[in-house]
Amino acid sequence: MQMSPGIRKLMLTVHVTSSVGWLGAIVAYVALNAPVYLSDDEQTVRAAYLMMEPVLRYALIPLAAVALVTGIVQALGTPWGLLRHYWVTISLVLTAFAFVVLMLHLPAVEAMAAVAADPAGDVDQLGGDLFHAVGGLVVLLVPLALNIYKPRGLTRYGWRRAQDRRTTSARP
Amino acid sequence: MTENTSGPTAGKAPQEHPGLPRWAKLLAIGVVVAVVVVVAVMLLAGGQHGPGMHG
Repeated sequence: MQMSPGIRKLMLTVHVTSSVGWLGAIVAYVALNAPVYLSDDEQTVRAAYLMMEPVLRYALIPLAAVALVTGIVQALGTPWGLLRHYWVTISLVLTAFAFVVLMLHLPAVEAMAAVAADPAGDVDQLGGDLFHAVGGLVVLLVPLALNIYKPRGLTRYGWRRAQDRRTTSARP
Repeated sequence: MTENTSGPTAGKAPQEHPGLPRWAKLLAIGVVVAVVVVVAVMLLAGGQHGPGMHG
């Protein structure tokens, strides 16, 4: 099913906005890890841990969900398709992977925030969350580059579809 | 997304699939290297990570 040009532009706008917003939220999450490693002030470290949970719950996860859904709609509603071009399929896999990791990681971040909220909780043993933040940033930079460069390469399915279309259009 | 493909077989006889493009092979190698490095770091750090720690 092909989208009308107006709907397509709208979906593209939402997709780019949510994807860029997702990257920005990751950078904010990385920044929240800075006091954990750099600050000697325990209250600042506790505040940083407390803020990681709402940033994940109310910014990272919703933006990731919108980026994933609009990316799928955008692919299905245009001639690119979801599984015809390697760059689209790889972008889908990496975005879905990042979204699943975000969802799975939420309980761990909630647990860290709970320790930070407890005045008797020992925040020194939490160890920060820089690994996930930087890992997520690196993973998302790949679809970003693929979406901009759109490197050539049809999947086997895309190749078959192109062959079928050529055969069909060649018939009198 | 914009379309700029005119079809890989336009005006040609049916062809075999050309296989994975070079950029995808390089990306796959990069992913494998990254996964190996991350797993090695995890093991050296004491294996305190993985999906089991979530939830």
